Amino acid sequence: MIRKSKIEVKNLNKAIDTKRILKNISFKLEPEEHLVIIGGSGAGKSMLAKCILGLEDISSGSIFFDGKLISGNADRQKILNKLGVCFQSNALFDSYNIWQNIAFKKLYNEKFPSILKLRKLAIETLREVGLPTNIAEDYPSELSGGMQKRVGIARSIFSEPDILIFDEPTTGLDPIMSKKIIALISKIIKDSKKTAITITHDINLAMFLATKIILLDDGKVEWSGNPKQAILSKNKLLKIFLNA
Amino acid sequence: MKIILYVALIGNTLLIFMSKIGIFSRFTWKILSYALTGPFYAKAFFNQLVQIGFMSLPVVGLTAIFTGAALALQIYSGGTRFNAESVVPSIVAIGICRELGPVLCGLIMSGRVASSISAEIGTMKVTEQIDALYTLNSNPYNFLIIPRVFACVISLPLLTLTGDILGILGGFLVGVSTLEFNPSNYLLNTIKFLELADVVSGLIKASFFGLIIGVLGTFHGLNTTVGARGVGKATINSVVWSSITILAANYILTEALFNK
Repeated sequence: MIRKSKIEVKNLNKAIDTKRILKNISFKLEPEEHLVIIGGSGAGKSMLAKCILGLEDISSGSIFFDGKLISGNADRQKILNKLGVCFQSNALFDSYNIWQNIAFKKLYNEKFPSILKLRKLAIETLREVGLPTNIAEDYPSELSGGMQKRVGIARSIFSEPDILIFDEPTTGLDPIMSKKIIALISKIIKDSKKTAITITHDINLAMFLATKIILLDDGKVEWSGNPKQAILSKNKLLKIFLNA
Repeated sequence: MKIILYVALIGNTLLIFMSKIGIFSRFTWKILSYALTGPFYAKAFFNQLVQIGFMSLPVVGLTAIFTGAALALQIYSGGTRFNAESVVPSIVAIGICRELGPVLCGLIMSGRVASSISAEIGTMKVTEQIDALYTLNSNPYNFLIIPRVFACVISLPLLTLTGDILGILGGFLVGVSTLEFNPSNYLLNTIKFLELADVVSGLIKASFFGLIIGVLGTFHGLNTTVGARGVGKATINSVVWSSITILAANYILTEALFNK
């Protein structure tokens, strides 16, 4: 059964020492929506994702998950259980092989994990993301960047999370591989009908995947709307992105 | 005006120092509380026991043998000045078990293990693997830190005990082959003057040194700043600070254990 989840962020601020990284960020993400957060380098995109994930403390503001205010570690842990995250650097564990990386969450959190069952499920997930199954016993360092990215995606969907988060999914990939990864993310989200957040500086990716776009600049929301509105928008920064 | 600048500089340094103390205290508190609340990853712990303990045996063993051998030569050379050559076996044994065994083992392990722990965890930090652990519902303290700290605390006394035996063996080999000691007399003198307390006190010291290596290695790793330079800095800091702390702790523990 697909659980439909939503996220709401209200007046989120994040400062490190005296520097304000995020300024009054607010948005609402309804079930099955795909929010793409775009912006230049240093705009605060990844920090915003880390705040949503609870990996960074927020200075002020609130985050609601399914209408419930998230505060404290216990709440965060519950939320993290419902999220699947694909990191910019893939963040695959070097000392674990591919299937162990994919099944990591269940492998190390179930009391008596069935190794054979989890391995089988991980191999099925490898197929789902278009990877050959004979790499299951290989280690991340033996794979190409594109393959590692797919393994990262496989790990994020393995435990069937309610919300998927992709941080810069095409960074460091060649244009052909980027297109393949975008198509894969699009297929996963369409098939699973999950709520998703993608962080990117790639406007093409945003226009292709998003149902909602937020443009961040210098830590604040510069523009928000859907892809159709983006084309018609007169926002200068957005136009620069669209014409780039 | 200059005085204000100096006061500001002192104040700023003090603030940075206090903030570091705060971060370290929070870190050790987290280790303690997560160790009590669990979960405990036994497989990760045993892996670390092999990596930290078993894999360090050759370097600790070789150091102990050569140190024991050199110590025997030094004591013999000093002893001949006042006709006390016969004390070589007992002083080699006592010196190694009480002092040289644990301290050398601690310093070698600080170079080998604290550096590798901080480099490994530091690299995991800069490549977002620590963040990934959180999102995969595995607390890095339980999954990475606690198994390493426990493995250090358990490995160091075991390695020190092995080092003690091999150090005495090194002294014995030199004593018998170069200094023309009678083998059975050498062994008898070793056993006769060596007390259980000498060995146990060395092992107690080694456990503390293990704790220092584990905690400082993981602390510097987890607090790595971005980039390869950050990992390098964390590695250096972990070795320097664990070595200094071991030497300081050695004095305090010696005072506590032997100054009666």
